[in-house]
Amino acid sequence: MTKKRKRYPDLIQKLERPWCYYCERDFDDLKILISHQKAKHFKCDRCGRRLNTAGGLSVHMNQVHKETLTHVENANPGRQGLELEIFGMEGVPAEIIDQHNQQVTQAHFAEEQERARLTGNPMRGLYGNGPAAPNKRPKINESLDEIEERAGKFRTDRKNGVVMPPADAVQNPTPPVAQPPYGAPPLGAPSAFPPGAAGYPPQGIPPSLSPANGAMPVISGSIPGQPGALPPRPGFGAPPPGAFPPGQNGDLSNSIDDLIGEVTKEAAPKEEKKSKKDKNQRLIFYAETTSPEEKMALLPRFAEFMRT
Amino acid sequence: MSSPFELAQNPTEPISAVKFATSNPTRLLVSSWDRHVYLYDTHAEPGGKLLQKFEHRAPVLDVCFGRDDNEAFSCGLDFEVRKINLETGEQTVMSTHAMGVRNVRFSVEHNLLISASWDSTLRLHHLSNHANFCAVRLPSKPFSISASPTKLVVAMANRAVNIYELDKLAEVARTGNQEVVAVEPWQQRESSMKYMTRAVSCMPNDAGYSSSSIEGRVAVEWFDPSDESQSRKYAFKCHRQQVDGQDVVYPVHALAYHPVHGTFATGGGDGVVALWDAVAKRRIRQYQKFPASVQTIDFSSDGKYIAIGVSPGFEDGVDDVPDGVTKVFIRELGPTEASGKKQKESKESDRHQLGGVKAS
Repeated sequence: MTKKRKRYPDLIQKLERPWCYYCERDFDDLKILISHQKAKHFKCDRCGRRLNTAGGLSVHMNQVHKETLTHVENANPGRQGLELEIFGMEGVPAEIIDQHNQQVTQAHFAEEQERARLTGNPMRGLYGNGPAAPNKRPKINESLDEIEERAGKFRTDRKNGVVMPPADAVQNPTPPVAQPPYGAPPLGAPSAFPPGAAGYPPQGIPPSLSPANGAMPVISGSIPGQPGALPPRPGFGAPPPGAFPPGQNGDLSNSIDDLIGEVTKEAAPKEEKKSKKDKNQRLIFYAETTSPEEKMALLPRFAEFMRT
Repeated sequence: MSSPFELAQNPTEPISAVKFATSNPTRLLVSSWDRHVYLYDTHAEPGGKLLQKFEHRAPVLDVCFGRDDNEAFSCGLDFEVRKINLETGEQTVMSTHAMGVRNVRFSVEHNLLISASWDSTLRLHHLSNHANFCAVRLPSKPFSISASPTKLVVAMANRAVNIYELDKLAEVARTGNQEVVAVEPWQQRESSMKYMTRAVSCMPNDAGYSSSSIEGRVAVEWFDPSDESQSRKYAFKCHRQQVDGQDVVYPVHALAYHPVHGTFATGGGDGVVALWDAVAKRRIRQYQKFPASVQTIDFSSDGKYIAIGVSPGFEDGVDDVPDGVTKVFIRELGPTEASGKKQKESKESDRHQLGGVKAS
């Protein structure tokens, strides 16, 4: 029996999910959304009563506890207002819905792309009935002699201690989609794409779903929001297709030293870069050994009172 | 939900500490960089009533209540530790450090006053031993101290943490005669966080403590040195914000444990106060942003109120401070607002019990 394929929801299914205006969380169905809102956003913190809307809670707080409600609890910044009467998906302003749909769409395509990159499978809807996927292994027609010659070369190489590059790099230039750790090369390096896949053919995305805003570029290369998150790594294990055409192993041993050299050259700065990437953060306060109070104490308006 | 109210008469410079009295839950001390200690009755009238102001020579960095609700201790940039009689306003200098004094704590059980100064010493005053004190040298500058019923945790520069036994400290202080004494810490630890420790607070049940760092992170650990207890320690990120894909990380200035429920509150440079359940590792709730950085938090002794000291311009030592943002907020907590998740179970069992009584 073959393994059952996991079904990923498509964009329409994702867009149909009800979601909460206050915290942007999405739910399987409307009932769950409503009970979420009652529990998280419209619950009275004095008596625990769950109201249906923010307005209802406001009136309840006023009449029962003589307190005024100023904001909706657990809401995202900017969504805490009491002016909107929200119940489930009712009352959400149209522009907020548009904004949400755009985010979902963008996230959807980014996710699909990422999955395609990791699995090496073509993206949904691509190559369905047209040309074959470019990342199919190219057919190699070798005669028996050629195969024997290659095997012989392999044996002598092994005897001489020459490191064999990863098999797939030699045998068939794998298109970038099938190289998980290295990421999709940015558009600046189009040569890294096999000729057939230079930019995924846009016909793969149903035109009815393609949003007019900026979600489209997702498909054509790098993932927006993290431009260049994973810079291309030339050299290591992933020679640009064309560098080693199938069956021409003669040049290979010469270039292996270069390859190894490149890898070691590449490795050191790569490490550093990665740790910097992880720290895409800004510390509001940073000091090794001076506490904020000590810094404050040096301000002229406080320093003048400091004992000397 | 219901908004906290702010005290009507606030300090004019940043607030360094807020402290509730040990018995009266509406009596509040506030120390400020404006060189005053303020005493409020938070509920005498709407907006609280300022009972008295005590002037100091220099900015005050910390304050705490003493043996009763009419005695307080303060410390600050005048290098002095003072005793204040809150009725008469009389101030007595207890000792003078060699540098600014960052923290004072009073342990009622041990009748012991502890001050921590940037001169890298602790000073211990046993109140039965009148004007005398003794000093304990620390490996680094202390940044925050906190006392549990039996332990004193001192968080210092270079990520050092010393834990002392209060019994031992009280013993040496009883006979102290202004000399430096060598007291071995009960435990010496290294902070489990990478960055400077900002605040430390002990669990009211004497089991452990939390510490926070300038890099939006809080660690929870246990006193018990056994491997089993030590493996329970953990740290988590908080007080961060995503701005244009960048993680903006705020220091966690304030930490305070709830005296009844054993949950704790954190206050950060982002102006947010959050309540956490240390055992269930859950955030219980997060309050709406305050207008400026949250510097200090305290719960009243009955756990009914939380006081939050909010002041701007603290973290980077910037000199321009907008007016009217330095404020103390008081929030009345609902009966279950600060309790952890297990509350529901106990309610359930109450109900069962009641049912049982009715049936019999």
